[in-house]
Amino acid sequence: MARKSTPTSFSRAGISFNLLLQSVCVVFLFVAANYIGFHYYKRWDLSRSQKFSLSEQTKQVIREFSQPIKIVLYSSPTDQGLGTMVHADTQSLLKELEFSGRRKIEVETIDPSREPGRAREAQAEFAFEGAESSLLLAYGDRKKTIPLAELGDFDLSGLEIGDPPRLVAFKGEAALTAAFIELLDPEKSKVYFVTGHGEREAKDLQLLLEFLDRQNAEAMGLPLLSMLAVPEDADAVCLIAPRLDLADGELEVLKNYWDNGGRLFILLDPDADTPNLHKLLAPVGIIPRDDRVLRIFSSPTSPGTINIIKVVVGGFLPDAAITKRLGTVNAVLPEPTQSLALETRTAARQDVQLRPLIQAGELYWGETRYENLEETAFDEGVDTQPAIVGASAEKGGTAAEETDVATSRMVVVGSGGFLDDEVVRQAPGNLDFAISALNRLLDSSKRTGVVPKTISNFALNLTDSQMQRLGLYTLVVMPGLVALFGLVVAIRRRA
Amino acid sequence: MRKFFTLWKREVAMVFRSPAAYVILFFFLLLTGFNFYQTVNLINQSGMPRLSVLEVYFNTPYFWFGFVLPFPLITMRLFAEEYKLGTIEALMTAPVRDTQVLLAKYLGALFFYVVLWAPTGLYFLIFWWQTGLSAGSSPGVFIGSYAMLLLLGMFYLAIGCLASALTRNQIVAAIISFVAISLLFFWGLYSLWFPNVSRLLREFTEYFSPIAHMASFSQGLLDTRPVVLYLSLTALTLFFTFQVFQYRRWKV
Repeated sequence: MARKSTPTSFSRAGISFNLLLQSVCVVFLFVAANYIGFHYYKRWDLSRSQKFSLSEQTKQVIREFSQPIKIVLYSSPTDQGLGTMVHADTQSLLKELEFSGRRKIEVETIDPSREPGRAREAQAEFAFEGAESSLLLAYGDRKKTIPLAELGDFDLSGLEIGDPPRLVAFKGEAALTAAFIELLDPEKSKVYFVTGHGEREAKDLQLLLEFLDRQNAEAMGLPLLSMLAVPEDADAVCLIAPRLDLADGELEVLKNYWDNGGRLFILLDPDADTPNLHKLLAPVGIIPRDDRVLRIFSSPTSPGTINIIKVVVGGFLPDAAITKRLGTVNAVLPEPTQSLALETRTAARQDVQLRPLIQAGELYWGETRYENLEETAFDEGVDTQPAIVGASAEKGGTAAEETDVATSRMVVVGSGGFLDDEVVRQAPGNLDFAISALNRLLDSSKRTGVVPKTISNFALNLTDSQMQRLGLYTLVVMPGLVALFGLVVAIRRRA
Repeated sequence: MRKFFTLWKREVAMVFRSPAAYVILFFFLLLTGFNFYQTVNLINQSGMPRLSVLEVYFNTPYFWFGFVLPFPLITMRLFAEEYKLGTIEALMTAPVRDTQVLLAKYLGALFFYVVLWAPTGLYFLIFWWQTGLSAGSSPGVFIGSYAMLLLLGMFYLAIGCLASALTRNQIVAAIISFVAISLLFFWGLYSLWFPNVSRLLREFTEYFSPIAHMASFSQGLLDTRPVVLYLSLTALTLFFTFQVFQYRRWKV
């Protein structure tokens, strides 16, 4: 018996070994195919608007990274706000960037509502204090923050009738490519703050300066009096509430800067006598009015007593690129505020596009007799209502802001303390505005040549009868036909 | 090849002579029809959504429920029934190769799977007929959706085949394949449920995630990686099915 069983056992062992070997080979082939398939793959974007395809410019920039860039999508899909509307597009874009720049781009998603611990770590790591959904970028020790709401163009025209905002175009790739270029270029953007006229000091503007630092921008003083021209490396010049006027030479320097594609951010001090500064603004079409924006308030607890409210609360107007993402956030101007007249004819002659950015609340007006407020009241034809207190001017641009090329840009606000730290802490919308304005002034996304992707919506407006017919065909006719066919087969089988 | 086609025709005929096929098809169409109607209704009520009917249709929970359910029903009888009825012995002694038997059964099941899903294409035609609008934003989204449907179906049917080859009890085969398919399906959701996972684990789960694959393909974004994955998984699973089938043959 033992002799007979030996070959059988041997044969079985051989078969088992053969089987094992085959299995190992097949598993190896499976792993190898997937390893190769995972690392060497091809993707085709067959979507209508090619919404997943990256531009060559973006791919080229990614190739230039010599070390990994870290991108954190700091956003909660359940957040309220415009950023939520581009959350999914941003995720898709980051996935494409990850695919395109394997090992060079690290993406992390942090949902602050679900991961508060990780959110705090990221805030510390990126020196990011805002609560707004944002993209946080780090390349070596260089960091940059991009609010998600800046990645979309929104149509807010329906807000007044209760319609939600609508995403018109997604410009995430342009914004990220511009950010990549900035991070790759070790040279920081330079933002000069004019000094020598009693302007706000750096210690009053710490929050604004911190933001500039995070944007890889360097804030520097600019003693204009001793200069023949604005330094060539200036990416923007800020004039923050000068109490003394510009000298004639300084005015010429700033005029030349503006005429040659300069970017100016100006806060006016209405109590200061600054005719030369007004001369800088006049050709652009922005005329600071000699008034003070205020409103009166009758206290219900003490009838007959009229209080004059000089702290201006206003809204950001949604029709400009700078303010469209700010939505319903309020602007608060606690110091004396003057209204701005926008002279579009003058502007048109200079090829300047004017856009109102901040409008005082509907109860406010620009009071011309502000020195005697004993019996103040709105005078039709003399005072101004509504009062525009912030505006932008772009020279060489077009009516459609997104189609412009390199332009001279200016943002003017008719109040001095608008960006003081203590004001910004109470009214974070002011800083949001300044961030958006400076992003616009420093904006390099237009230079990337990456075109924003138009969003196609799938609008349906089916009538009840159309829906009923769809239901009839899909829920009754089609399954019914199958049931009938099955019944025929069953009957034929029985027959 | 002729022997293979004979076997394949036998499999297909067995399926379509059975009332069970029509019962499955009937309930499947009810479920997918309901999903389609709900999708259109949802889009019709929600104003201006970003996704087209087709993109929503292939990514709803109703879709996934209707998608996963038929596999155990289609495949549970493939080998288990033959083992139980003893007809497998006749097959094994017939002058056909084991690979021919396996492929005939597998492709027969795949044919039924295609027949199961083919009528859903009519939904989009009916939609176009009734509304004058295309249900998808581009031809690419149709190609992507149905290509992914086929790839996923090929793999899940292979799992069903393996489960059926493992046992002579059809119910047990159905349970094994259902559990295996469900586990693989939910594995893809791991990184969604636990967002704090490492990049490697996230990539690994996404690589196997049918939901991510369908979401991508149904938006017209075609990628060779899922194609390689599902074709290789199908081949691997069929290889093991073949080994199990041969093992049972030796036992017989």
